[in-house]
Amino acid sequence: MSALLTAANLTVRARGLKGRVSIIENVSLAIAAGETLGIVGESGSGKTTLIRALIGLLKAEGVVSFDGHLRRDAAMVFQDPIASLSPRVTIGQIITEPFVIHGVAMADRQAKAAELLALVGLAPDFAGRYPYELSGGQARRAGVARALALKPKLVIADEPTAGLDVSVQGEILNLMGDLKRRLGLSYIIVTHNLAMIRHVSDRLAIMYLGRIVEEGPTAEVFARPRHPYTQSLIASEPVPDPRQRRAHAPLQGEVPSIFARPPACEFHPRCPRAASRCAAEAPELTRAGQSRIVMCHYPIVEEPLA
Amino acid sequence: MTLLSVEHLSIDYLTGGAPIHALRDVSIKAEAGEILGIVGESGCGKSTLSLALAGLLPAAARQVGGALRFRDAPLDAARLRGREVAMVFQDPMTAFNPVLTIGRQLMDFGARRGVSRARAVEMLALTGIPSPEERFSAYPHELSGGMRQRVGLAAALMVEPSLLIADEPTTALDVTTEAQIIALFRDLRRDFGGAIIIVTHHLGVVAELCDRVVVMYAGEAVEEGPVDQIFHAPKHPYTRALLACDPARIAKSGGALPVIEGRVPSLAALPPGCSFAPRCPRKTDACETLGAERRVFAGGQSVFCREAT
Repeated sequence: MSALLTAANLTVRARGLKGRVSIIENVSLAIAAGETLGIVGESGSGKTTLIRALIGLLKAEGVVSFDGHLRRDAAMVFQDPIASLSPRVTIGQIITEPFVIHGVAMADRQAKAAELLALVGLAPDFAGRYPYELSGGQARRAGVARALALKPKLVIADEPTAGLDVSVQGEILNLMGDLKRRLGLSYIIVTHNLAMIRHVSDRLAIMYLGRIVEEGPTAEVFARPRHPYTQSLIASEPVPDPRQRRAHAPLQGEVPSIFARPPACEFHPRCPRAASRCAAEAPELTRAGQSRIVMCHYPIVEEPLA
Repeated sequence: MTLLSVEHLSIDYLTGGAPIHALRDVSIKAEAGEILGIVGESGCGKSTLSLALAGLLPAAARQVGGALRFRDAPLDAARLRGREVAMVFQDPMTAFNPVLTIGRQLMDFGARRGVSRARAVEMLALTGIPSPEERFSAYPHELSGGMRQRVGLAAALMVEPSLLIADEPTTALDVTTEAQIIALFRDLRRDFGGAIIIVTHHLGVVAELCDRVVVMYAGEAVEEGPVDQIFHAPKHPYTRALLACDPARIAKSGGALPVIEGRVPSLAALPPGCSFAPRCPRKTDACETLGAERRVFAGGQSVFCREAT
């Protein structure tokens, strides 16, 4: 498969009160046509900054190459569509606005709006409504419609289901899956929701403190996490079964500040597997079997079956 | 011992138009020593219920029926709040004053209730705040979300309440921090003789923490019972559908995710009969004409559905 988007050695720096800090450190990734890549991390992991850098909303060091016109063929679905949609503009105007922004001619703006609404399962009369009149699920649909206006190849969605009820979450994910197949889209989905991303992504990148610490096919990463952070993250997700209660929280402590990055392996102060080498020498991202990479001196390896 | 009993409580919001029936005929009991979960989706009435218990209902709310009782006497929530009844909110950042230190706020609140400084520091330590003496002079923004939730819990428990209400206590937290707060609640309950009520939309939190659970839909308690029974043998069609939708309970299939067809009805214009009937796969004519009926099964599993067996 040829890569649709490749990012090499992306670093995003910001000036803070305490000097310059890096929010994203040396991130490389690739996404193939037709693929869904999940980017998972907790608050402060840099996942939102990374996607902003990928589509050029933020200045970054490094190289992004894209098979197409980045600003037109890659579209973003923002996290809170009510806040990201102007309250005084109708849904019809909002979803057709990309045509105006990019100077693309529309024969009939109303017909275009109706077509886009139909694509996301909303009736044509939604074109005349205002954002506050929409439910959470309808607003997400409108956000997807706007992203699809210029027929992008890549859609980047930031927490597409955050704040939605679990019964509505499935509708949005099913819609996105359906559109992906019908329109041949690729997705990058950024989230902290592991239960959700497990169902909808082909490949997963796990971020910690602005670095990708593990990457691989979603099913493999969930079944056999290599990085101790990935393992703790998966184990932290509460299991909705009272017969599978945890005795303890899998991970102690908190994510350190980017202003005070721990030396060497940045996960070592919280890591249950840390050894002296982890505090002395930074691990490199290395191959761990076919199609998987991990940034750890002592990755979890499978015990051979007796 | 039953600490709290809510008996046939109905609450409307008066907004100028038709009244919004936020709670209808809700009855629950919280026993000393147990953790009760109240779970449901947006608009199900769980927040109205927790605000009613804490005496924090907005001015537009009217209690149109039923009663709240605490230790076998009418509950005077406004008087008991901060004494016998304490509350923890989703984001304690908004519950704290941003320009006063944590310690000052704990003491402003605690001193009137006879809490010493030493006791306040001890409570911070108990809720897992590292170097609690130093944190006493920190401002709320200097603490992480998880630390603020610990301080909120310390403040709530400082007054030794017998009923603790936690409204979405882990919703604003990252998953690794959420696991720590869940573990903290579990540790605390060992020394806490009172009742804890956890209000949440998160089925995983209920499964991890609660002894009993009440499932709410459109302002009604549609199913209630021991948590194991509700998760493993749900009887109400809504509970079943809700559990089926949770991606954390579905083995990866690659197929479409289950959804609940239709929408939650408007609480200002409820359908006749059972409120879940328009979306229910098992509805009969009687559900729409006669409405739901409460049935009680073994183990105290109570189901508001005439078709439940």
